[in-house]
Amino acid sequence: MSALDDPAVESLARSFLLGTARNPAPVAAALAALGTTDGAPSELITELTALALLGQRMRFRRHGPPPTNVTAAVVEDRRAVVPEAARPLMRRLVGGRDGPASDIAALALADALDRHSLRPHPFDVPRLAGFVKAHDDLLGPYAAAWAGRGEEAEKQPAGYFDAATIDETNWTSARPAARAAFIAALRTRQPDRARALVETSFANEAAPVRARLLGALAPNLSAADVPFLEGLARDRAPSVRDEAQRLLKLVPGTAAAHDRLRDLVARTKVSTSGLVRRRKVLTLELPADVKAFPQDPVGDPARRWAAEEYAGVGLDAMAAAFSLSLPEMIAAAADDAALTGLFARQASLDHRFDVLATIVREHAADAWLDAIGPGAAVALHDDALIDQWCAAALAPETWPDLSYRALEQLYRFLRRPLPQPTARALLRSRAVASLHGWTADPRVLDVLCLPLTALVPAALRSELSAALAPLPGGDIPRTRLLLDCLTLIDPPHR
Amino acid sequence: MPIDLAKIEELAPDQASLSAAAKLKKSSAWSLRGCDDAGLIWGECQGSGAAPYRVMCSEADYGYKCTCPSRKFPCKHTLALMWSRAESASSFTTGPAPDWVRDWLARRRPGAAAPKQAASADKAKASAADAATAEPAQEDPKALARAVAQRERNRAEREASILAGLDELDTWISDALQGGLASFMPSATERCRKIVQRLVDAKAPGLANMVERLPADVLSAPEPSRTTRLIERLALLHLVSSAYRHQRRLPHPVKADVRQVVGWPVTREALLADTDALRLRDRWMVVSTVVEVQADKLRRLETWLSRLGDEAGPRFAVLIDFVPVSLGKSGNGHTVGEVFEAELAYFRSPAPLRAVIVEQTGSTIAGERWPRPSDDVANSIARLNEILAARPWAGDMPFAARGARIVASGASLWLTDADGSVGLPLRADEDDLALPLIGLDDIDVFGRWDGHLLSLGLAETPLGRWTAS
Repeated sequence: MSALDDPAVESLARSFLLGTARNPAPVAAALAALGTTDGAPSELITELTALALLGQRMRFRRHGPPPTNVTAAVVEDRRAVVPEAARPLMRRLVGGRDGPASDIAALALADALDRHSLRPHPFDVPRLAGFVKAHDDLLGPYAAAWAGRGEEAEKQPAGYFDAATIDETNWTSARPAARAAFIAALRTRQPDRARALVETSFANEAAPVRARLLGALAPNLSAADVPFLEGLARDRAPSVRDEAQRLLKLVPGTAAAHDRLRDLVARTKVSTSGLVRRRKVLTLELPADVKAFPQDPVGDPARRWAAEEYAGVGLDAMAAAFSLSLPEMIAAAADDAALTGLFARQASLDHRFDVLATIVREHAADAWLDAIGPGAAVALHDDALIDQWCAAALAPETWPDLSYRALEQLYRFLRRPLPQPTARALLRSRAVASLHGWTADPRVLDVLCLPLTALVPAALRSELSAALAPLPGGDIPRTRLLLDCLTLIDPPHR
Repeated sequence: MPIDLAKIEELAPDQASLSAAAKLKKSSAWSLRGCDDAGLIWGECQGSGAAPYRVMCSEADYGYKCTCPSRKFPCKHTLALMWSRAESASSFTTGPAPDWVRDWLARRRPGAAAPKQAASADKAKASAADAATAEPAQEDPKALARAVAQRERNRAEREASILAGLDELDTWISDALQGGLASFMPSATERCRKIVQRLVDAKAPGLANMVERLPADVLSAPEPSRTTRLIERLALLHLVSSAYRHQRRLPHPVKADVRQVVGWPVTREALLADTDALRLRDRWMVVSTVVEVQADKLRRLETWLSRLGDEAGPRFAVLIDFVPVSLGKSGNGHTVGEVFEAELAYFRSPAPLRAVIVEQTGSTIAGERWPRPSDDVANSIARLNEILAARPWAGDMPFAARGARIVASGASLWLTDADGSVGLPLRADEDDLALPLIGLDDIDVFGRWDGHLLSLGLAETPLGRWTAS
């Protein structure tokens, strides 16, 4: 028996489509070719038989090649894939079901992968969709390409590069996050060159990208940046204008800086206290709409306002304006958390780590929070500088307890574990020891332990495990998962 | 195989269940935790009620049962028992299983029971034969004759009812053709609903199900090919209807198959008692799992198996289970990549595929590579047509090929051979997962071909194993 030929198929399908009442199906002709018209089937049966044959004919289709416009979009990624044992742990930590994809654990994992130039297994990338989209700039070109595949064509970058392969010749083709990271890194080494690169590409960028690139210029601001920043006062995007204004405030030695110094002095009440040893006392008067909330060191509006409003003026300039030496000024502001926080931030901006250490150890153990608060623009461009800042700013032995938000803020600022001495001091502090008596919601304990785990370097992870061991196993599942992941990705002996 | 934490994590319905189970691991929550040498574990966990919950689990196939009222499967008590077993097997007292565990075991399908408890194939056949001869001796012959006659009357009535339903179905299809299929689609759902009800009344639930799925099947196709899809579906309905009418002239496997398709049930017991049913004992690997909620509020769990041995016979099998949706979230108990040894009994069919486990021996293991299929892409496609020729109403068909590639073609993905001369389109809703396969050469794949799109289940690649689940 032969099959229905193409003309028969076409004519039958056309008849069925338009209706056999008005376009009778050429059943006899079609079936005659198959030799199935023996007997005299009723009209109804014949029509349905033809339908059945047509349907089967359609199901027995010939499978050809795919349509010709085949595109095999393969992104080259030279990073090594994570160890096999880490894959299920990663899927549980940041993928699927209930794993938050952008919390501090996810960030610590992404940072660890980036530090060791590792990437998720390609087969896991779709299962870690949220994580990959949130940290695409840290996970290698393949993940970046995967995260960006849904973007509109005009927003897609020309290429995907690993951070290590971006240079001045190709940086404009990279993704916005990678571009900003490149400019920020260049800015720490060659501030003028970084600004020049941004200036040349600025006009062609979308507003969010312009604002991001501008933010990358925050480190090492100088008078040379002023013309460019002032020129942006007429930028069409409010976000860019606001960012330019923010940076202008941080440039030392400008007229705007002098104005702010005068304002600071005007707002600061200078008094004298002490009966035997008279000493000056500085107190900042807050605007009416800013209320101090000392119970929350991380989010105290007064401390945040002071740091954002006056940082960039310069420590020596402030001391001179108050007619005090630098140590006297810091001692005089010891009872004013907002001023002390401002001085801590300025000391960090100026890399005056001796001053920062004095503030933290003699006056306010938590002043480091102001140093790294929102918009701090503190540029610590190499590991040695970060080590120095940590040594000066962090005195864990003086911390009464651990705060999730403080530890998270610290990790988001450092984006790497603490130096070993600081981490060791933290692990041996009474703040960590206090976890063993934890009686509140165990879920909070898990959340609290996550940034702690992220901050502990590989060499001290066994000490961290020992510190966490007395905690009930089920109470910190995510922390233990992060710990296991980091141990595989960032082993102590590497 | 001892239960491991990865398996527990896979079985858990959500993270909350795992967290709750973690708290129940402590021994003080359990008044009893026991095990036997055959891989059975059990325990009594004190819950909020007066009586403790009785939890039992088979390590061989991860079957479980708990008397708690939780709507999560497995519940936290089951997970806690498994977890305790994985972390501290020594805390379980070895001994004979209590009665309530043995009761559960007896009610479970024999294939899922622990190895010691399962009967061998010969024993099963023998016992079935014994039962057939023993029953008449115990019952009143007259009552038995009445029952047989009643069954025969019911059967004849159902046959007549189905044939009447098939007549209505043909008339319905014919009406659709006369009015034109172009005008059928806008009112397809409404028109299908009426004939579905008639087919249900006619006791042809299989056909009713096929008609019920028709509008969704057609609308899921790209706009230009919807007419073709509609013709295929209507043609299939008439084909089944016609085959059923002429079943006396069909070979026995085809006849048995078409009766099942129309809606005559074949119970597990009947299949096991059928001495002519094809049985295969071999090692099987899970190569795909499917969980779908049906319109009749049942969750359909499909487990596709690939036979690892070289002996002649079908290379694939599919186990199909149904769970009421009202029982809550439940997943397929099998994981792609698992390997176990079992005897399977196939439902009669010209292209045997659906099967049940008669007996599972040994434990489930994972980590074994799926053997390379013998066919390349072109030959595997040819095999699809062979299946279709043998069983024209075949639904999802197994597809296994070596040396394949995945390529992007416009917005869709295709599976092709090495030089791209022949290919099959992949299901679009699985594109995200399959995207990493692009650019990899020489992939061995298993998938399910529904006649239009291929759903990948497993792929062995140079980067390791890829699974869809």
